[in-house]
Amino acid sequence: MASKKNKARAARDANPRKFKKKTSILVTEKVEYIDYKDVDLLQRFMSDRAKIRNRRVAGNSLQQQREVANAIKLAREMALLPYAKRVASTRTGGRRDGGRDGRPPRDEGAPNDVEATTDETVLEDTDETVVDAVEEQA
Amino acid sequence: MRAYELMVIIDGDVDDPKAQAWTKQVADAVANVGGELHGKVDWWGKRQFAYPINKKPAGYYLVAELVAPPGALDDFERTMRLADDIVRHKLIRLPDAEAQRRGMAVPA
Repeated sequence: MASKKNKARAARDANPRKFKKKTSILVTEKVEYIDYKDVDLLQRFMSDRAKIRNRRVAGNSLQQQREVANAIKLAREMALLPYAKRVASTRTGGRRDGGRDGRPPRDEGAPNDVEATTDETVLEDTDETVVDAVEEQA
Repeated sequence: MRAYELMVIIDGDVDDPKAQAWTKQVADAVANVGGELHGKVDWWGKRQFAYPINKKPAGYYLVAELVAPPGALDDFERTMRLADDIVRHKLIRLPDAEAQRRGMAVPA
């Protein structure tokens, strides 16, 4: 999986015009103070499973990401945001022992990322690599 | 003096008037320690939790912005922690820049 990451990096370096740096919505909306009460804003930094989006996806700077993460954690403590959310999965008939009680075997990200994992036939064995591939796609 | 923001969650099973009495209790506690409320205590009313707390689905929320001497609210925090009606509370020190933006006077 390290080689895959390097390949992505190499492609980006070779053709920098093709890859545009993502700007955070904190910048586009001129947010000065990230308030833990601002649920609507914070929710946009969370996945549909209520996980905090990573920096690359959100386009945050290191400092912004820390502030967002801390605000989300405060909001979670006060039950304004969930710690985890169950997502209705479109995937039926899971691999492994999944699907017995109608939910996917493990948290593997959003259901709409399915096509991202299918073309990586080499990376079938562990879940970590699949998640990695999903992140690369995003 | 420092700028703080206090959020309190009151048990959803408590009657509305009894829960709203906490706004006065917060105001009194702040005044007692020589602090000052910034505006009124913001009463959110009953709000659904994002996840059940103590097997309850909802609670009353209140938010207060205040200016108080450092450490002065320790005692009140303790009483809140011991009060049966209060499920959770959070006292946050606002960054100076944010306090200024909200127009909260913070004399050194």
